[in-house]
Amino acid sequence: MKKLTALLIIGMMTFTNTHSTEIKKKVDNFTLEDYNGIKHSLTDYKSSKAVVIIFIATQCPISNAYNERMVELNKDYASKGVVFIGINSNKQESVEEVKEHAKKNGFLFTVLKDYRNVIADKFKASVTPEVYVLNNALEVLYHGRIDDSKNKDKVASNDLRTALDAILTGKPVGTNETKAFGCTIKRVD
Amino acid sequence: MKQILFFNILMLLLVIAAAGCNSRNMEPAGENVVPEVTFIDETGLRNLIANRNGKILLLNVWATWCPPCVEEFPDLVKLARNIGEEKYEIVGISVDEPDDLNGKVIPFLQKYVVPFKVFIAEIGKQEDFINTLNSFWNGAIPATFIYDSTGSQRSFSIGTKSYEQFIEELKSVK
Repeated sequence: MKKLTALLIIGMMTFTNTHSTEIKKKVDNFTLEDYNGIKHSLTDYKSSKAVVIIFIATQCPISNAYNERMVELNKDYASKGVVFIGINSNKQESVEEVKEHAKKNGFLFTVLKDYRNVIADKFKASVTPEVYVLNNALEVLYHGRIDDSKNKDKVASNDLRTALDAILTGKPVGTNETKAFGCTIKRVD
Repeated sequence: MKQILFFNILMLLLVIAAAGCNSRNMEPAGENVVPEVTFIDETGLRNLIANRNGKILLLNVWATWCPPCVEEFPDLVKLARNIGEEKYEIVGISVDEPDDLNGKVIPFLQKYVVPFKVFIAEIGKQEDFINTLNSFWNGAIPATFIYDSTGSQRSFSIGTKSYEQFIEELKSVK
């Protein structure tokens, strides 16, 4: 737990910084298998306009409250060149459960199983759902929530959509860090 | 007639006596104790943290929809029962929707007969509430914040804790 506390405090600063017009955090490429055992790397998606990584869960009610919205987001933005990837890093959620959950909820985007939460650790992801939007240089253009309410009818700020719309029109993302309550990613001890 | 009247009075006295014994001897069932839950906003939260009265504060943020929070809750109840009120204050802040107070939060609390103050967050913007507690926190729960007797935050962590871990963290704060 002490390690996790330290991670939380230090973690926000440990992405590699790159110098462009503004300082952006950058993530390293990784390779993970999806629930069918097929390998996926971030570099596979270099030709996309943006890659949306969402740390998700099968058992967290908050993450599940966003299942329908994730399906809609993928539907709305896939044709515009945005790739959506779900990552399940929870230790207690098996690959079979991840597959069943994806099928049941109609996820047409790739869902990867992150055994031993290696990628969650690299990203310093701690909650589900938690979003990272990357450009093809693997720079983080947006990090945070999908929107500001688990209750779809109470959403006032569609943060992920706003960020994607800005990216697709070549504009800077106004609010590139947001927060929301969610379930902790259950890590290996 | 007198015999019937005497019998009825006797039966009535026996029923009253039995009822009195039950109310004295029975441990109150959780379901019958309606816990007091108060709404709290960012200002109330700051005041709660500042008004220490010499006590160390353990503030736990949880929700009924959060499985690791539900898993942790019995250990928090045990902690509050054993830690000693004169030196420590335990507070739970639920981030359930205020609309879920009667339908979810109170029924959940009734299972435990909770021996500490519970608030439900009255949130304008989630981020303001989150940042009031710690700007490095991204909202993952359960989250536990410990303040010393001057109201300074001494630790903050996320994830399920055991009773022993709670004790260890509290005892490390002077």
